[in-house]
Amino acid sequence: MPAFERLRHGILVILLVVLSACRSTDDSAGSKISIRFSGYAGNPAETSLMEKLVGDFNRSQGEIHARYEPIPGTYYPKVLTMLASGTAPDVLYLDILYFKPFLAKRKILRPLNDFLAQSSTRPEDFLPALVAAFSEGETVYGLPKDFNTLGLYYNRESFDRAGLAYPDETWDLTRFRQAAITLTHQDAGRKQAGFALAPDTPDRFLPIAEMFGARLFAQDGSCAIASPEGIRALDYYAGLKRVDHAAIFPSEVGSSFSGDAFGREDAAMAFEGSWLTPYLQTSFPRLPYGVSELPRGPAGRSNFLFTVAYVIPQGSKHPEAAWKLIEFLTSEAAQAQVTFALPSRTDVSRKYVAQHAEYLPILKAAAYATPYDFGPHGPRIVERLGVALQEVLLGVKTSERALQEAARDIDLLQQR
Amino acid sequence: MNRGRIVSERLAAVAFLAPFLLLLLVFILWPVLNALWLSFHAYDLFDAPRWVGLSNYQLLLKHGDFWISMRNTVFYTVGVVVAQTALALFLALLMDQRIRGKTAFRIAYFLPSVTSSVAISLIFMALFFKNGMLNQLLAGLGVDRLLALTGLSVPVDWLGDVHTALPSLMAMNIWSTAGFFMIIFLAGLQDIPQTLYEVAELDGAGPWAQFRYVTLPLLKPTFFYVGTMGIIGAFQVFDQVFIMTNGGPLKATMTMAYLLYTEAFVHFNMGYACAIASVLATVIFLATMGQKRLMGE
Amino acid sequence: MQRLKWPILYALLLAYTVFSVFPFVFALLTSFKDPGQAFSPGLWPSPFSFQNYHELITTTPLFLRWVLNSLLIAGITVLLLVLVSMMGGFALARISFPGRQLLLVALLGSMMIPGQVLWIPNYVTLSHLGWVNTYWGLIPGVVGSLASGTFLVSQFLKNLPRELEEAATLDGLSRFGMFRWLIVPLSGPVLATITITSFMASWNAFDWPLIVLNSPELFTLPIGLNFFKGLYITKWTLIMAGSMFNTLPVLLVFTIFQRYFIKGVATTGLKE
Repeated sequence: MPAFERLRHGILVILLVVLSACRSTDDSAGSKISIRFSGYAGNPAETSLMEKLVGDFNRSQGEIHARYEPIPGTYYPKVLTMLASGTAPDVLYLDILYFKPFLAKRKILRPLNDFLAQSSTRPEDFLPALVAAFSEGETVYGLPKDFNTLGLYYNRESFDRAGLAYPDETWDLTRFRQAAITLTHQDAGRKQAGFALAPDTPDRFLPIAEMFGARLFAQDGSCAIASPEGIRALDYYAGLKRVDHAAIFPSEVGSSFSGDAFGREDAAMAFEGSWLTPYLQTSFPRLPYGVSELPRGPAGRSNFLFTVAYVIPQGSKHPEAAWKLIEFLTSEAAQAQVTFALPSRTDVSRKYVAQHAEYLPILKAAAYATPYDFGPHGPRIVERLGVALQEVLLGVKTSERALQEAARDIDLLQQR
Repeated sequence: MNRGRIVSERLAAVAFLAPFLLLLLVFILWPVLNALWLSFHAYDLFDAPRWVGLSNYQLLLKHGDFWISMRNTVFYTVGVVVAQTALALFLALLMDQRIRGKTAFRIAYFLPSVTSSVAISLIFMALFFKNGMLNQLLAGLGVDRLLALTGLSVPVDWLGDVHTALPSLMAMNIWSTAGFFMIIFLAGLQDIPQTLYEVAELDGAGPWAQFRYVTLPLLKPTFFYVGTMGIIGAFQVFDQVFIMTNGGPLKATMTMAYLLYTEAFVHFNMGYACAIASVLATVIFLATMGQKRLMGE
Repeated sequence: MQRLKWPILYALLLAYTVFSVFPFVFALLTSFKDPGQAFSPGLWPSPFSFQNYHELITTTPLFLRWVLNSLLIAGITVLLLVLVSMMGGFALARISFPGRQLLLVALLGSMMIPGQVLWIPNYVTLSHLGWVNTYWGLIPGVVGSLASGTFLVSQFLKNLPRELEEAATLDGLSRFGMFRWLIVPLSGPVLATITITSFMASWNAFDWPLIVLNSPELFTLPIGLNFFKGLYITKWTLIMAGSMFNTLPVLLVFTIFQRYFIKGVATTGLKE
């Protein structure tokens, strides 16, 4: 068709698109207050529950319309970019690891004390460790939504076949290691390793280090992971793969995390939180699994408290509406529907575990678990430790050297 | 030409240029200057930029990651450009004849170039897994024993092994761009008059001599274009790294563009990231000029 | 190469065809495999299942929306880019104005600049304009394609014989008229070329939309595909099915335009 006709058609289409583009970013649904709510998008069980809850919230009242916009992939870079450009949602997830860094970035978060004072929601109803994790002194910045600790997921069938008794409270790291070795086998072309471990995150390794008596930080705040106990712990952990050949990386079998390798039965054991349970139920419903506490180490038990809170950015134009959403999401009714973590309300948690026994080990660990929080440089520290872990697991450095260099870099980081 | 004509000439220039110029200015030229300016500041998007002079550049010199990324990127670029140019030329020479089903071949060869880097990255991720199709094929062909001789642990975790991760990405890149450059070479080949070959043959030149003394010299502008486009593209490799390896394992695939992204959008050291970007742009420019000098253009 | 015996020639051609096409065949066949069978030995799916496509369309309702978004955005982008490139290229090739040489140099230089350099300043500009998380914000992502397209057009038009235009001027045709009635109809090859390149640039764009778009309903297909490769789920058979959606439209466009594309490249890209 002649160029001019094309041009006219083009202009028409452009107009159409402009109109439709405007519509999709239209803020007001009638005369309601419109707020946006974002969280992680990695766990389908979580996203579908959030969708449902947000829908319930919108239906339960008529003044506020909340839109749920999960963020896929790298959440924090996206969120920080939005915060910096003034386009952030009104309610956000904030992981405990990122709480101190956000706090350090001068006043991104809006304190919630005034809302709490006038609300029926009381901080005392929640597990104290969780509320403390998101407070600075008396000021509460976030309301915890749920929490998790690490449990030992094991494949019952594999244990039966190997003639091993299931893990229980008597298990220690030596027994765990022996089991991993025994469980590693190959028959009829199908390999199964005893244990799946992720090579680049330290969150499974650090509890083991503490169980050997190592500490990440000394009293004076310097990094103490390169102590003899820490080195021994890393030798043990990396040894599972490099020496005993009883562990695999998830990536070796096409999985992106150890729980998936466990579900596919490429590994007989994995350290995971209860986020794995709904995943197993939907993707691997026939897998016969059990959950127990993490095995004990020479210096006792250790675990991490993983938790996320709902926060309101300072820049939000509708903080009261945002608070109403948070109230709804942390209500007893909403929390009772969570399957991928344990509810942050103390009695809801207890009731839930009473009905679903497999969450008991997760709850028990909460009694002694430490929050997964390393100060204002937390994420970078975690990243640096991950590199050290990878270096040892890939055989590039010895545990001693990797940890010493990591400790030095972490000290440098903290001075900045 | 009368004055009215001159005026309408100028008006025409403005009208035709305006949209293009506006977009170029606002979204390319201004940002370049802005980025250069930012490279002398510390800026984290939240507070105003703070002047730091040359300290970003000084930090660059000391920063281990920067040199690793530079080394990786140069290695990547040299390997990819040489291989894809050679392969593209070879394919073009093959295709430059009377062939049945030429269109079908052309489409098949060009297909990798038109597919999005995301789709390609995902497909190759699946292929490269330790238990993926590539290893299955290699095992089936018995090649895995050859690989074991090189010291790699077989079956190879192509993206997870520090020795094979970057070469795997390079192979993927070459696969996806060879077809595109083949088309360019084909066009260049078709520009060479047949008479030159006939004259050379009359002079007693065999096929290899014809290639050396007729084809290659006349393809110089094509080489230059392919080389330049290749260098520019390879230096900026980002998507594949972001989707497939995130710079790992152990920074084996960390390229300068990826480092830029992490410094800017993960750690929010915008000023420092702009310094990296300036260096990257300079290196590309130098490489292109160097290529020009080498070709004797 | 002319002396190569034809069995060897065809063998080589076919070998490379297999090499070139195999990953797509792999992806296509895997997309028909049962989800648990993603890495099962052998290429052919057994059992052959449509479940992935079914799941793609039904349980991930946004998927079709993403395809639609990509189509719409690509269509608009092509129209805009073609229009602006043609106009700009025409001006550069045919109208003498002060600063023309400088502009040409700037244009060439801008094609050499790595895109990442521009991310930060462009993002800051967008946030001032309020274009973050809108489709307008995608414009900076395609400006690179605009630059190379305009350059191609200017080169092509430079090689166009001037006699027709001189005759038209004598007949009293204005610049606009010349553009509309003479230049555009004669620009078939280069129009096809920049149609393809603009379409490809828009359809396959990943980096920039990743930074700019936040709301899932606005996502384009590449971003949506990346969404699947989320942190906890790696449903590879599903991902393969999604990749097919991304690949086939471009293949279609290219198949239609490929003859012109090659001619376009031949007459423009090399006369530097």
